Amino acid sequence: MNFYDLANPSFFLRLVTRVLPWLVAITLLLFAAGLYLAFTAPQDYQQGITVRIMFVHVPAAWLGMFCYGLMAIASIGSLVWRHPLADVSAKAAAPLGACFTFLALFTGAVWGQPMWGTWWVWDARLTSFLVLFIMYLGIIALWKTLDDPNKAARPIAILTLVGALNLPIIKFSVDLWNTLHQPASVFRMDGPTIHPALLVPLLVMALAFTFFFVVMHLMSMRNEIYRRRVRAMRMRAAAAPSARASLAETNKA
Amino acid sequence: MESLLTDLGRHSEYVIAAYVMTAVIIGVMVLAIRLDQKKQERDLKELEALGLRRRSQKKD
Repeated sequence: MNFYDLANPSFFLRLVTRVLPWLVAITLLLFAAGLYLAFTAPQDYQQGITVRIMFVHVPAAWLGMFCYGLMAIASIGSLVWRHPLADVSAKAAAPLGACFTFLALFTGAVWGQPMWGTWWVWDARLTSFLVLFIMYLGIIALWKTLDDPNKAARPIAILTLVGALNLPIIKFSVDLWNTLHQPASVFRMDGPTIHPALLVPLLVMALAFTFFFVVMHLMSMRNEIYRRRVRAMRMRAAAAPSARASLAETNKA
Repeated sequence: MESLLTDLGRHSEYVIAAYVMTAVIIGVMVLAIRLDQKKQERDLKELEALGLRRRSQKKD
């Protein structure tokens, strides 16, 4: 198997059918372990029980950004190599990324209220993350608006790449500006500043979220390939008079 | 689990809200993708039953 094999949708579908059950099993195991560790971890000496929100908030935020990064890479694949699955991947990832970003915003708000005394503040991290959510909604709306996915792929890929400029802004917002949001505490040059008793459940939950995303993304890509096949067959039917009649009968029924 | 049950008290409603919303979002994602899969597979089957093939599809 190489990069070019994966460009073949039929090969990709066979591969998905083979690996999906394993990925689902791993995801379930990771969620079970992650939730057990999350709810048996000690409370934070300052934040108390609310530190447990971190175990869903941080993975959701990472996935929100990871998903956009993946869409940006897929967009390059679409624009430069015209890889047939690149725009399928980008399109399938957008609603998933929007869900994770919304979840990060929601869980951040319910964490912020007891810790900061406010649900929302217009600081650099929160605002740039809200911009990410709006970017996702814009991209989803564009995919829905443009009928032909092949024609839609290029302008959406360009828009996605422009929006990717927001990713470093999100990452470094807590260092560049004075924000209410805390600075990075896991991915740091001098190592994580979180105690292992809280770091381990966080990393297991992050892995569970990542596997869940992979499962959802593969299933979503499969759906998109099917959708394009249905569209191609309907267009062929519309071009062939005998098939057109059968199709009209089916639509009437 | 014992730790959670003894924890419940101050600010627990925020923790519960966060986990409930996480479960809802995960449930919505799974459900939406499964329903879409069923719809696409049904559409494909209907079109194939009419004898329609994609250009690249091999004949049985």
